[in-house]
Amino acid sequence: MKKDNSEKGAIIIIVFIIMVVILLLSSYFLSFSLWEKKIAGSQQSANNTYYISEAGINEAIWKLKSDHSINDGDSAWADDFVDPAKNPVGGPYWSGSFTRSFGGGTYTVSVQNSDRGTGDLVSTAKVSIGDGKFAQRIVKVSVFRALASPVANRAMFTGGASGDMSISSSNITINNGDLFSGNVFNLSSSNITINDNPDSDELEGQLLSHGNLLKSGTTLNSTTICAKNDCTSECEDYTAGSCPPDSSDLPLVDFDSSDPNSFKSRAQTAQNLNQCQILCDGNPCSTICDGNPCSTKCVLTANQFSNLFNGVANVTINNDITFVTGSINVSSKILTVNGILISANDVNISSSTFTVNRPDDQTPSGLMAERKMNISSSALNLMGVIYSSDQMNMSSTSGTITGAILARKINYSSLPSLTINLDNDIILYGLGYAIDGEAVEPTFSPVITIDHWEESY
Amino acid sequence: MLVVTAIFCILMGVIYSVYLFQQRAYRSGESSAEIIQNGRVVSERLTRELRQAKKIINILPAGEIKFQDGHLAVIKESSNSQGGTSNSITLALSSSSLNDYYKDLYIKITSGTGSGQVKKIYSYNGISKVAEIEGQWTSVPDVSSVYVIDSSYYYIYYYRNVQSQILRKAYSCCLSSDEMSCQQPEAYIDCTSTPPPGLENLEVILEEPRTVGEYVTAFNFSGSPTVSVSIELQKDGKVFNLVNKVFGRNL
Repeated sequence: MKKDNSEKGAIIIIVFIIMVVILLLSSYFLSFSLWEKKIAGSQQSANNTYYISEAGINEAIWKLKSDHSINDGDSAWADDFVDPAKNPVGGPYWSGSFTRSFGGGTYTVSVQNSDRGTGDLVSTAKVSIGDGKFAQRIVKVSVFRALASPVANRAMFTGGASGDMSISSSNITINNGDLFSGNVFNLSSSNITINDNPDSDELEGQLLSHGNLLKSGTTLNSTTICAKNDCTSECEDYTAGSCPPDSSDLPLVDFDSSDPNSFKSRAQTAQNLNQCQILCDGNPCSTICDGNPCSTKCVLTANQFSNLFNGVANVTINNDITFVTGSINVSSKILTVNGILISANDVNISSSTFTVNRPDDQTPSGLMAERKMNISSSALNLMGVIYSSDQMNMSSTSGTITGAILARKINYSSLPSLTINLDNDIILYGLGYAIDGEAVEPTFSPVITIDHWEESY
Repeated sequence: MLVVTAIFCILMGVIYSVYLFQQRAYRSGESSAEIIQNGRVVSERLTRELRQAKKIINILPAGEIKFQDGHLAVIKESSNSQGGTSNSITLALSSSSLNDYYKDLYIKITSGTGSGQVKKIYSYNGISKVAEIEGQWTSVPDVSSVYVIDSSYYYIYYYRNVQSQILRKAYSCCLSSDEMSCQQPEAYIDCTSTPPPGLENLEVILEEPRTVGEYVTAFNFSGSPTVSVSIELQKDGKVFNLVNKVFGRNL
């Protein structure tokens, strides 16, 4: 039988094809593995670079908060950030930068202010990955320093000459803020609760007394007691037995100077622009003030204000600022103020229902007296700052105040239930330290607030 | 046939080498991912706590860090419990009426049933006064149990052990006259303070050391006022260096 040679060499072809396929697969896996290795390396350098970049942001935030020196070769960022000379209204605004070697790489941080106390930080980190190549990571952060007042976080404050605070037979709850007495703190037969703000990094809920704390028959719940004769370990300057806070003056208010930002000037301007409205029992008040309806006034004399209540039970004031050039006396009435009511003399409110609303978050709201304030047997529902340049007396009154109470001296008695919810923003606008979103002779909070965080390559 | 066999053997060798290479690359990638992840966990946890620290109490530079925690409100209370279950304790009637008021604080039974146990409060009901704890009591508290909740001084300690692990421990201090037990009534003090004559500062462990990360071959802290943190991790020949700076807001 003749052998068929037609399939001779087929095995070689088959083996060859198999080998080619295997080689192709091998090269695929080889390249796949090489890519895996490169990806792992990139991941490491990306992470490393990110943390170096974040380190730059952290240093920059520290510089904006605390660097008042030029010893590190850079300008004093903490000063420049809020310096009015380097950040004039309308710009150009301050900018700065620095570069550091850190962790096998470098970071460069630049800041560009967009307003006084507000800026954008950009931290660019680079790490060499060989062959003249660099891994780069950029972190962008927007930061600002909030406007502060000298009484920030003080829900109740007395300061200045003999700034005593005396509370008896009362139930007072304070949320998110501190109680501060500029002199002796006298508590008797009362229940006082001062609560920390759980959403804040700072410690609130403190009882702070520059003088002695005198306490009898009183239940006191607070995060700290820092007084001349008492000191709990949580106090900032803890010293067993005594750690009084520094004394502090009552913040000044520009009631009636000729400055356009004084409360009287602003009230007068609003009146000139016909932006005033006072309602008596729901209708524009019919009494006449200086030949015009009193309902169109923002600046009134004591008599004109008093006459608003003649035969009227319910007065609603829709002015942002109402300035009374004399004393304010309200008895057995319902008074609603949608803004702030200010007396250039005393305020006396008794047996009344008194409500203050804040129409928007840039309107000043509250009740202020350039001299004394007396409130008795009334119901309060106030969203605003309560301010008296002299002594403030309150008795047999209940209610809620969102804002703060500030006075040279406070004497409260027989308050069945008074709740004060601190609001620093209300204090700022209420005292005239901010107008229409702009700071007026501002001081800035020491805290740097991060508004926005963004990462890129 | 001989030539084909030779080529086949060479190819098999190549394929096997590729296979080994791929396995190594895979393991290397896996190790890399693992050390990166460990580094991130350690760094994130550490920086978050250090950012809120009230005070660093050991001298830097160092390979460890001890600092006073600044996250929690200061609360100091002591009373008899109303009872408990295996994972909860009912606090005194006078306790706060706010829900979760004691959350994340440590509670210690200082006398009575279950004395000596310390647990972290997981949640708190202001109406029922029941505080749920992390883990379980070994001896369930009852009405004889006196407890202390005192967050005046909590300290956190990060360090590296010989197994290249990063451990975290929470502790506080009390005054002791016998170096064994706290003076009654038990209260926590500044661990760096000088004790009165005849007394010692005794460490009270609030949370036993727990592993935060592994494969850490170097762990260093330096600098002020921003604290530089340097972490080196290694596994299977892969090395990852992670550096950061932390700005302590309260330092």
